[in-house]
This record gives sequence, structure tokens and C-alpha cells, in this order.
Amino acid sequence: MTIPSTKPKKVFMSAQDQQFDVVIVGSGATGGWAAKQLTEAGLSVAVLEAGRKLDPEVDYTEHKRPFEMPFRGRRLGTEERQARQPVQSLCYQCDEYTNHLFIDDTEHPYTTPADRPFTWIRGRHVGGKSIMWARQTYRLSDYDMKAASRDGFGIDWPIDYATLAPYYDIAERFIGISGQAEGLPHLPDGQFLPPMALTCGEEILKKAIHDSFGRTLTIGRCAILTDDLNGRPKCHYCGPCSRGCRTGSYYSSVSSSLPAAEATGRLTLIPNAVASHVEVDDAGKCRSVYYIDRVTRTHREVYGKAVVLCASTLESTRIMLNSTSPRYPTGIANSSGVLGHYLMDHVMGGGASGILPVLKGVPDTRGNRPNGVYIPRFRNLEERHPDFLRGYGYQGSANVVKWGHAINIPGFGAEFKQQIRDTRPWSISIGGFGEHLPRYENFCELDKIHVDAWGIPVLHISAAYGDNEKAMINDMADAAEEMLRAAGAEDIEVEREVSAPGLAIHEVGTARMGADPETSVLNSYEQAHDVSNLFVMDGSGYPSSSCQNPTITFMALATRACEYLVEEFRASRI
Amino acid sequence: MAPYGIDRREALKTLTTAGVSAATLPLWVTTLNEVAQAHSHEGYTQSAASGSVFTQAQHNSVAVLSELIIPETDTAGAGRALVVNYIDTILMDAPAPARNRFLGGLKWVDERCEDLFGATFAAASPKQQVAILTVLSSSENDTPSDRIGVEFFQAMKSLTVTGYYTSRVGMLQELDDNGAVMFTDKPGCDHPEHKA
Repeated sequence: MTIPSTKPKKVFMSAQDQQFDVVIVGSGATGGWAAKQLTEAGLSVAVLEAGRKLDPEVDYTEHKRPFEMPFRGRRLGTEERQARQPVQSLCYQCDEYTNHLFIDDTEHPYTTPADRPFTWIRGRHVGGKSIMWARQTYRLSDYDMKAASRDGFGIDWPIDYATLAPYYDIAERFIGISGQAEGLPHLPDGQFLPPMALTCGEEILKKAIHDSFGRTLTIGRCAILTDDLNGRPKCHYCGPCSRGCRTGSYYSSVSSSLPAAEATGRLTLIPNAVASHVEVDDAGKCRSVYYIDRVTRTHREVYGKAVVLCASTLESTRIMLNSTSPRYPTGIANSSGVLGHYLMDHVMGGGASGILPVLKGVPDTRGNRPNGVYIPRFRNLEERHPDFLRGYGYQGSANVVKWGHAINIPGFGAEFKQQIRDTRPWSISIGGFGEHLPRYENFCELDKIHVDAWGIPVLHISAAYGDNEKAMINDMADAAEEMLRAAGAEDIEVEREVSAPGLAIHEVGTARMGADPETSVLNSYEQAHDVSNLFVMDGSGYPSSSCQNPTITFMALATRACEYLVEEFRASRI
Repeated sequence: MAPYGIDRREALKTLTTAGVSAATLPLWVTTLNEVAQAHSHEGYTQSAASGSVFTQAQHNSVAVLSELIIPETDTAGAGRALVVNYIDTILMDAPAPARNRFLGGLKWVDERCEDLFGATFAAASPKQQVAILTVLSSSENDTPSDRIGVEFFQAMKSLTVTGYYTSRVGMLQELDDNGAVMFTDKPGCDHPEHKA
């Protein structure tokens, strides 16, 4: 094991080098939320954030129109920017409006085997990816958490839905989720604000797949307010949420949880603090988090009675792998040897799109609804699919194409221009997100050679999709086509090309929870089996990926873990 | 390039092309369109900007061409939208072979106009300009000697479309999209049988 080059030669002390009850690494969806839960319970908390604080007036660009941007908002803009973000630019959200919200790949490298590419999308600033996320929020059920018991693959979650449900309630009530209750056992309803409306094309698809296949289509459940909540105004439908939201109408830690934590007077937010590793005391417990000031490059240490990693899946594990000591030679909390293993994402690449001739001439009614529709999983619920385990759900939308059809209209001139107006098609498209089975051979480890701009060893990530995911993509494509046909769509194009892992940006696992300390890193409270004052409250703890967008489950798990951590403080066990 | 439909994130955004197959275009035209995806820019001056790809004469020709493709009607056309400046920026960032094919096509059109009308494209009469574009835009035109001009028109047309519909006048006037459209109901939907 490489000895990290960042081990202290000299630590520069400062006012920040003080003792907190809890040090949280990461200020995103779960870091901000954990800070709120813990400070409101009376604990003093330091939050380390690797990036800067954003200035909404400058950094949030949701109200910019294409013609206000030098490059009309398409893709990244300049070639120079493109060269610095070859990975981040693969993200659908990273464009001229938002590229400053994504990392500079040249400063934050990672390595992969040549034949096992992984796309790692990251944001380093206060709020993390909760600024740019797609805001879709779906609960898991025991079909997900107890999947191993149902089909024999992998391990069960060390917690069941009934135990987690009240914690979903707490998180949802605070951050605000709009959605429609459907009464599905495999996609439990939550605490919903009023649902957004379906477009006419989506109504058609909903009816068709219900009548033909008994399947459900529901408006996206999303962390966007459709009613004022906790002092935050409801959405004003400007549309492009991923560029930031000055009114705070969707959940980001910046819009809601961090301000709540700040209001307690017990939060110390330390931006530009690039965490390197956790230092331990003689008893093997966490003593501090060691970090490097992003701007001054000075090395610092911040002390906590407990450490909570919310740096994101892979980053939290990187910190743990980099926390080597005589007691923990392969990284902290790694007596099982599975730290870094069982990396998962959601497999994408199966879907279909087409046009709905029946709606010809019906005007666009979609407006700037910042949300799509969801078709919940229907495979491997009560019946067993012959080709693959687990399931997938679709996300999509139907709306009017305003001018993308123009190039197929012949001719030029006034008649051409009028035809573009008169022949606007209703397009409909759905794409699947499928469960990625947990496999030991999908893993990350510290790269033996490369370090990042702050001298911290980078990750070597080795992951791929297997036969199960490939079979699932085929079924995803076939089922998408049959549903669009049932809705009367024409000119259907079917997609069945598996994308590289990482691109769904639902990466989970690498420090999995489990009942057995021999085969897992964390218990159901996201507490390390090996180190009682170390918690990991982001996606790293997922034992299996499910197929639902994961953030609300991260938050529900963190809610429960924080409650437990507070109890441990009260009982003086920490 | 991941097409529409397979990416839920794409599906959550405004879809402009889902369900609409792209026309078959020559590779170099496709290249220019990809550059247009990556870079587009609405200039704010009527004349060729300094450091631009176009000479003043080329600038004038492209401006006339763009207005012929999307003319002013009850809304502004591609000329007022300054699509020529947008195309200039695209060409500036484009790989040299694609840029040269475009400029070569423009030259071809001028030369053909000289042969036919004794004047460059910009100097030809509006009737003559429409006449040559009608020949070049015809989907049935597979005359080998017209190939350069036909491909040039395809490039010109696709860049004009993108430039126009992302311009200020294109969005505010033609698309009536002021960027603040509240979505509450389905005012255009008269299909009660489609409601669940």
C-alpha cells in the first residue's frame, strides 16, 4: 500500500483547528442534511467542503436565455474549457451555463483499465451535486432492500422498509417532494406536495400502458416545491433547475438544510477544505480529519469526537482507503477487505422515442415544467423474468418539438418557415434506469502512482456491466417500444446501447452496509463496524443499487443514522 | 452522440428533436452541425466582426442566403437575427476541412451565378437568387456537377435553422417563448378520453 504523500510533515494550526462534536466531510445533499439534524440536536458540527461557496447572483444561471450566452448555452463553450472537462462534459447537465459547477478534470484525475471505462461526474462547491441534481425522488421498498432473499443474489440490506419509512417522512416533509400517490407496494408513496400536471401526450401513454399491460405511469416525484414550504417559495417554472435556483424552490443543501444548521449557531462551515484522510488515536478511533486548504495549500487538521463522511460515493471511500495507519494498514474500517468493492451505478441505454400523430395540431402545453414522468418497475415483482434479475423504471416525457424537425422539411423561404410552425410534432420518449447487480470485481482502490492537484492519491476505478445488465437493456428497449406502439406512436426509434457505468450519476456502494462485519463495512446506522465513531452517510453504504434515483434514500438513511449518533452522544458512548 | 430517448436526464429537459430523424447529410455538414452544438454565438454587429472567417463580401452573401432561407414574414427573419454572425463563429471553431468546404461551397455558388447571371450571388436579382437555391435545395438534384452546391445549401440551411431559433428574435417572436411559461394545466388538450 502506498503511503499517502499527504501525511503531515508540519501541520499549520489555526482557529479552525478546534474540537467539534462532529466533523462532516461534504456539504451536499446528505452532508448539509446531517449538519442540520446534528446541530438541531445540540451538537457542534464542522462541515468541510472541498470547493468554494457559490454566489447565486453570479453562479446560478437559471434565468439566462440562450441568446444571452456567448455560445448560446450549448455544450461547454470554448475549446479551452472542453480540454479541461473531457469527463464532465459527458454529463447531460454540464454546458456553458453550468460548467463552473463541475470539477476541472485536469485537477481531479482518476484512472480506469482501458477496457473498463467509468464516467465520474463531480461537483466541488458548497452544496455539491445537490445544486445540479435531477431532483427525482423515489422511495425504495423491501422488493429492493430484501432482493437478495428473494432471488439469492448478493446480500440483503440490514434494514427493512418499515424501519426506514418514518425517516423518509422526516426528510420529505422538510425538503418538499411533489408527486402523485399511486399505492404501489414496490414504489411506496411519500409525503407529497401537489403533483405537477401531465401533458396530453403523457396522458395518452399513461392510459395506453395501463390498458394494454397493467403498468403505471405517474408524474415524476421530485424535490421541487409546488406549494410554499418552510419559508421557501414554490416553483415559478422557469425550467432549468440544474443551473441553480435563486428562490430555493428545489432541494439543495444550500437552499434549505445548511441554512437551518446555520440558524442553530452550532455550525462551522469550512469551504475550500480538501479532505485527505482520517487520523486515528491510539485506541483506533477517529481523532480528526486531515485536509488541505484548496487555495493556500496549507495542511490542517480538524478534530471531532465523531467523523461523518458525506463526500459522495467513491470520494468517501477514497478518504477511507487513504486513511492508513499501523492499525488500519489497508484503510480505515476495512477489516472485511470489501472496502472499495461492490461499486454500482444504474444501467442506462434502453429506451424508445417516437411521435404521436393523434396530437397533430394540439398546441404545446408543457411549458417549462422541470420534471418528467416515471414508469415504475414492473419486472421481477411477483413473476420471475427468464433473462435477468431485478428491474428497471423509465423516465421520459412527451411534448411538442418546436424546431428540431425543421431540417427534415424541404425547401426554403416563407413557406418553409410557415411549415415549421404548422407541422410541429408531439414527440414522446422514455429511457430506462436499471439495477446494477453488486459484484466484488467492480471496485475502486487507491492508484499507486497518480495524485490529484493537492497531492492526494487518486482512485483507480474498475467497473463494468455484466450479462444481467445487458439482458435488462434489451428488455428495456423492447418494452419501451411496445409501450410507445400501444400509445399510437409512429416513427419509433429504439435504443439498446449500454452506456459506461457512472453516467447515470447514481454511483453507490464501495462501503456497503450489512449485518455481517466479515462481509460489509457499515451497519444499518451507517456506522463502521470497526470504528464506532466513524459514519458514512452518502451512497457508499448501498448493499444493492435498486433502480430508483437514490438521493432521497441517502437522506432517509442519514436521518436515522443521525438520530442514532445523537443517542450515542447522549449515552456518552462517543 | 447519445440520441434522444435513452437518457432520462435528456428526457427531463426540453426535447427539441425526439422522434424526429435527422436527414441524411454529408459528413462535413454533420461536422459543422456538431460544432454548432458545441459553439454558437449571436453577434451584435451588422458587419463582419474583426477576426471573423468571412470577408465583407462573404458576410454579405451569407446574410442574404440566411434571409432567403428564413425570411422576414409576420416575424423577423434570419437576417435580423444576425444568423450570419452565428455561422461565422461556428466556422471559426470548426475543423479546417469543414470550414474550407463551406467557404468553397460559397465560392462555387458565386461562380455558378457568374456563369448563369453574370453577377455574384449577392449581386444577382432576388429572382435569380431564388432560382439557384431552388435548384440546390431540390431533394431530387443528384447532378454530379451540382454536388458541391447542394451540400453547401444543406450546411447553410441547418446552420440557419439552429442560429435563428436560438436567437433573440427567433425565441421571443417566432417561438413566442419568453422563458417563463407556467405549466398548470393542458389548455390545448381536448381529448377527455386520454385522461386516466
